[in-house]
Amino acid sequence: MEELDFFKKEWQKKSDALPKLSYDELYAMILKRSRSTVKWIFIVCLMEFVLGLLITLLYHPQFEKNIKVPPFLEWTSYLLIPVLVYFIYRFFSNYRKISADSSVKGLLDNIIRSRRTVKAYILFNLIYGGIISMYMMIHNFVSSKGGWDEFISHADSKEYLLVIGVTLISTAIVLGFFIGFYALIYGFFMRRLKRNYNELKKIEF
Amino acid sequence: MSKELEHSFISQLEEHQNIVHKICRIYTNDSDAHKDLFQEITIQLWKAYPKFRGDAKFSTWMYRVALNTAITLYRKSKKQPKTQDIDNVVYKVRSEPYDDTQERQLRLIYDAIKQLNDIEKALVFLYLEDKNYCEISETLGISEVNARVKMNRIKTKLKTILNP
Repeated sequence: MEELDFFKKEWQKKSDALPKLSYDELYAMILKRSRSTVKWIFIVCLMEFVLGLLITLLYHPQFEKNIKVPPFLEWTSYLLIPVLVYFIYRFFSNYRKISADSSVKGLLDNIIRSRRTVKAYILFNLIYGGIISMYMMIHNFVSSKGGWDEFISHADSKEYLLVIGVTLISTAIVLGFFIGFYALIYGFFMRRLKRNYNELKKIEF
Repeated sequence: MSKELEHSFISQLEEHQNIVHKICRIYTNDSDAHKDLFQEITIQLWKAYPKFRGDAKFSTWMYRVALNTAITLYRKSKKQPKTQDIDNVVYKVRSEPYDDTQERQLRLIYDAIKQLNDIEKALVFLYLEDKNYCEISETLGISEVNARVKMNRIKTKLKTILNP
C-alpha cells in the first residue's frame, strides 16, 4: 500500500518533532503510583478472597443458633478451607507470571488465567451457597410445619409447589444479584482486555 | 532500588523516549491522555526494569512493555491527570513550513490508523517502526505467518477507510 509506505517515511522523519522530556521530568514520573488494570484486578480479587474468608469465619447471625444444622452440612463447611487455600495458591502462582515484558498475547493469557481462577472460586462459592440456602429454606419451611413426617402426611401438591417455587425464586434472585454485581465490577476492568485477547485469538485461527 | 539502577534506567529512557511518545500518539487522542499513558508506560518500564537482563536491546524490550501497557494495562483516567511536571512540555508543536496537500494526506492516513483496533494499531506501529515480521510476531506473541497475513489485511482495511 503506497500511502502507508509514504506515511512510514514521514513517520520516521518526524521523530525530531516529538516532545522531549528531561532527565528530571522522567525521574519525577517513576515516583508516581501506577494505575494499571492488573493492579485493580489484583486488588478486587484479594478483596473477594478476604471477604469470603471473613464471612465464613466471623459472620454467625442469631438465627443460625436457632437452626439445627444437619451434620453433613457442618462437614462441608470444613471442606471450604482447603478449597480456599487451593484457590489462593493458584491465584498467586498465576499472578506471579504476569509480567509487562512478556509478549502481548502472553500477558493477556496470564491475566485471563489468573482471573479464571478467581471466577472458579466465585462460582464454587455461589453453587455451594446456593445449595446450602436452598436446603436450609426447605428444611426451615418443613420444620415450621412440624417436621418431615408431618409435612408429608398433610401436604397437598399446592404446598409442594409453594415450597419449590419460593425456594427457586429466592435463590435465583440472590444468585442473579451476585452475578450482576461481578459482571459489573469485572466488566469495568476486563472489557478492553477481553476484546484485545479475542482479537489476537482471531489472528491465530 | 539503587541510585545506580535509577540512573541507568532514566538515562536509557531519556535516550529512547521517542518510542513511548510515538505509542502515545497512536493510542491517545489528546495531550492529557498522552501524558497519562506516557506516565503509566514509564512506571511499568521502571517496575519491569530489574528483570531486564540486557540480553535484548533496551529499545526492543521497551516496545514490548510500552505496547503491553497501551493495550492491556492502561486505563484512561476520567480525572485530569496530576502531571503538572510535564505540562507545557509534551505538546510543544514545532512550527515549520509544510506542503499543505502532503500534510493533508498524512493527516488522512493518521486518522485512518486511529480507527483501527488496539491490536491492529500495534501491528501498524511496529510496521511503521520498520520492525521485521520476526520481531513483530515475537512482540505480539503470534506466529510470523499470521502477523504477515494480518498486516496485509490491515493494509486493505486502511485502503477501504481512505477510499470508501
